[in-house]
Amino acid sequence: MAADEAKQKLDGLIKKTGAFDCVECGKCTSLCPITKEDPNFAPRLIVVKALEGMAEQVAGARDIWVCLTCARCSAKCPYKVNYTEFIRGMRETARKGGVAPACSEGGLMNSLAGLMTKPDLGQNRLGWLEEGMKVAEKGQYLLFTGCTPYLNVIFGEKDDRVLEGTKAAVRILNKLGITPVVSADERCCGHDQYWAGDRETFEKLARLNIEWIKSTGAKTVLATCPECFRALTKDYQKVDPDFDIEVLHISEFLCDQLEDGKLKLTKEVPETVTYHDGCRLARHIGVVDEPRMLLEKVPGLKMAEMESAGDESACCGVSALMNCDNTSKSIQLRRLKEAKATGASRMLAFCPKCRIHFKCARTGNLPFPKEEVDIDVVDFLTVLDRAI
Amino acid sequence: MPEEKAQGAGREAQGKEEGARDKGVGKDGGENPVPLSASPLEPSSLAPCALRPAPCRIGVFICHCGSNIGGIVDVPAVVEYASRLKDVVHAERNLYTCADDGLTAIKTAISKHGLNRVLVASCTPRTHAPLFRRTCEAAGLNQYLFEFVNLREHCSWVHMREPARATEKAKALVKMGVARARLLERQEEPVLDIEPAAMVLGGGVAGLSAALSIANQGFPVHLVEREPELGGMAARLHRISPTYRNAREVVGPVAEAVSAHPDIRLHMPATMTDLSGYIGNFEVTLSTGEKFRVGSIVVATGADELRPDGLYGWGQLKNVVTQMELERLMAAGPFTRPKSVVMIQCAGSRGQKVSYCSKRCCFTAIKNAILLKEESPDTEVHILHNEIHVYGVAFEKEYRRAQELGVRFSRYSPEKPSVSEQNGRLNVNFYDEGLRRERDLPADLVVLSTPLVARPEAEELSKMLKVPLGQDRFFFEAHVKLRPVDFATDGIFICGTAKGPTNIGECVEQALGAASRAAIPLAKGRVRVEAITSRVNTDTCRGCGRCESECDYHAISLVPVNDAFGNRLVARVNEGLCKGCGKCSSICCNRSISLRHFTTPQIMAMVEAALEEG
Repeated sequence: MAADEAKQKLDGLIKKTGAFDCVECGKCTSLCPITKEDPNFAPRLIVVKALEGMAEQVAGARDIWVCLTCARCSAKCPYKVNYTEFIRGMRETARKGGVAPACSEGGLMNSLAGLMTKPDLGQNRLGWLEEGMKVAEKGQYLLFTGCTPYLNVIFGEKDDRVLEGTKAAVRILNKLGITPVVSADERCCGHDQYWAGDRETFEKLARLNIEWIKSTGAKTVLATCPECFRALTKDYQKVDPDFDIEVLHISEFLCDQLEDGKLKLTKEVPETVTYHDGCRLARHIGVVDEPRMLLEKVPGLKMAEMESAGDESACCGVSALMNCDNTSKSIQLRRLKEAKATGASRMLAFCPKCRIHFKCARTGNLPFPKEEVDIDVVDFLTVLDRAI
Repeated sequence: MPEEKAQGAGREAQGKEEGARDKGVGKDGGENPVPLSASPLEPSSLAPCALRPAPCRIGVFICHCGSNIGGIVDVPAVVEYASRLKDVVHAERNLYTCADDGLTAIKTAISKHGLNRVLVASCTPRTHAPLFRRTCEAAGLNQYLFEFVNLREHCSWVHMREPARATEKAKALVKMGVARARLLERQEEPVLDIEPAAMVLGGGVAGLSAALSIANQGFPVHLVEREPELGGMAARLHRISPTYRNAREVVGPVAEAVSAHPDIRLHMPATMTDLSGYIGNFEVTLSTGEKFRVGSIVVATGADELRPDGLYGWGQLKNVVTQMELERLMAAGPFTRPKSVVMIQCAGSRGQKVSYCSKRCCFTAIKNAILLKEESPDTEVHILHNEIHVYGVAFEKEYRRAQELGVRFSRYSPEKPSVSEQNGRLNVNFYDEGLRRERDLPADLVVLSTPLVARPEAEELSKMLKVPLGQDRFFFEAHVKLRPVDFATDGIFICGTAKGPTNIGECVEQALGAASRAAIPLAKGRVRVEAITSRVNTDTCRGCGRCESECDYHAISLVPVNDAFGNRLVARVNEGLCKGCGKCSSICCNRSISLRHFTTPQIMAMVEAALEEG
């Protein structure tokens, strides 16, 4: 890509994300989870370089791929610079210039997403359904399962319970008398492609999903995975402005059901847990209270908050399955130590990828005794499933 | 051919022993061409040349391989196609690129056209890459800027009935090679110091000969033998074919010379319990607790005679013995000569318990039959066989001598004979192919010619040495014809019956060959190892340890570091051990490991070229 074209894109992005407002206060850098582990990384510096017009240095640098887009910076920026969108836009620019990120596992999930853009693809993605689980091809509620059936194949060796949250969601909905739409026609939500600057693949996936969702007659789409949830609520509308079907996170939906008296949490779950907010759920969308309200209603359950929680929650260290490097591992181990310090027996999370990353970090080789980070990470919904 | 190769190497060893005696030290051994000053056009930066102002200048050489490639693929068309590819500044064809005129053409073109990449499209890199790499190096081009395309095994041989499509495929293969050649980078081969000592495992005739030869070349040898005495299987024989000399008289002096040699240290009885390190720096631990370092290793652990359990009544019927047991009877002194002896060839081999021919049983049976006949002419000796394999001049003569002495040879088929006891005497029943009828032979002694089989310890030893076993569980050499006494693992060599059934003369030939090969790194003092090794990006490595646990060569380990990223673990590659297989780089979760000379961009460039139209 020509240098002036990159410059043009950069100028557009600066305007779009409000980066010109930056007062170089450095709050972003002080909050950045990566800077904590890698002193060479500084979000402020990236913005300053951009403002100085150093387009190629910004687009060509590894830094833009290292950023987790966890939005801790954006959330606290006094001038509301949309840093995550700035990075995402730079990635689109860089990709057009032929620069691609290093994806985990040789980019396998990314390749699968690419395959899912084929309109007539026949997928075998329902093999995980257990006997007695009721699902349908059409109906009022659609359960967006996300990529757990695929992740389970790829990461099964690290976490054989990748699918536990998806299964728990079906069980819980069935217990509420709901037969959700779960179909082999679902595609990858495209979140990772969107955040890796691959707009083309994202749009293809979004269109296929929108078409499928509409064809099921669903009135409400329920998502469990925070990444799918973010894509469905904030990004699909950029592809199809007419996509107006209600999308709820399952925690929001279950809270409503609780208030309506339809969801009854009666069984005792006598343990202490802690809860890891995913970046997408807590900061990108702002679903913070609902999961906590649900946990509060589980008889016998004690909830212990970590040092960083809610919209200030630490990240799991990897986003969009890119750059799972030594910095990621340090972030993961730091988070696990926080969880361990609460005295909880388990850490709950909605995001299957967060769970995979934590498990990978704590079961790999460590530079310190294993006990310091030895805490199991399980899907949030499994606890609710036990309580109903 | 393998024997010739081993013999050649053996002669070389003897030559070197003489040289060593003259000069008092070990010397020489193989040479690498000294590179001339690097070509002025050769890229010095590591960035792919596509981004560099100095352009790639690729030369393409397409080999007819006589009619092997040229008879099927339209070579001129491929040359014409190659000459139009981007960055190709010269393309030509050769009848044999590997012949002198072909190699000269490469050298000439490098200087004439200022080539900074050379691509040869011919046969297999396994046999010919080293030759072309050396040629480039001799012309001043770093050998890692050479790319090989296989148009024979990968194209003309497998598509010989479709010449037009084979030509299209040849073009595509050349195009892929050119795509990779553009991204090749020069590499320097690490030089490692060598511990100037060797270890020989096994004190049989092969191990003794190897140890003696290495020691006579001036290098200290550790000889490790599991039994309390030297000599191995040969020492347990009676007389040795075709000279009929007493086995002890043959093996004894060698064993004595070894025992008395000031540079040979005997470890006996002892076995190796642990091995680490790599060529030049092997760390050995013995069952005795002794530890030492050696630069190279010769494996001469021998073989066992098959125990013919359940075959021909062995172990159940009296007077059914193996050839080895017969030798011991004869060695013990005069025994009551039986009236009738029946020997059964291929007892347990060639499809019975093992699939192969044990090579030594035919002449052993003939030798023992002659010995019996000479001492007791009235004894009837009958050899039942399924083809007599007595190869070479001397053994064939013995076969005829046995026939002259009245030894009867009968071919059994298709079933193996059966042995039973009838009225206190052994009876051998078989179908005689010559007479075309079933026969019964009464016998006082039945001798089974059983094959040599791999020793059970070979399995564990192969894991310790990280060298392979073949399907019959004998040690497996690097190349059956071209590298008969080498292992694929550098610095480890093989000889004698540990590699498969062999006669004593061949054992010695192989031992001298292996000794010669094992002394090469010791004599050089330093060794160049392949530059194709893994490289870890420690800035991104997350120290998960997946590479460490997957590496088959134990070449990667996690080490603690404390740097700008804090206290952490990172993967470290031992270049001496790394074989460049690429497993680590393909399983690394975030591509923190790349393989020199086979980088992801290089492979992806080939894939993209393959998928591209035109």
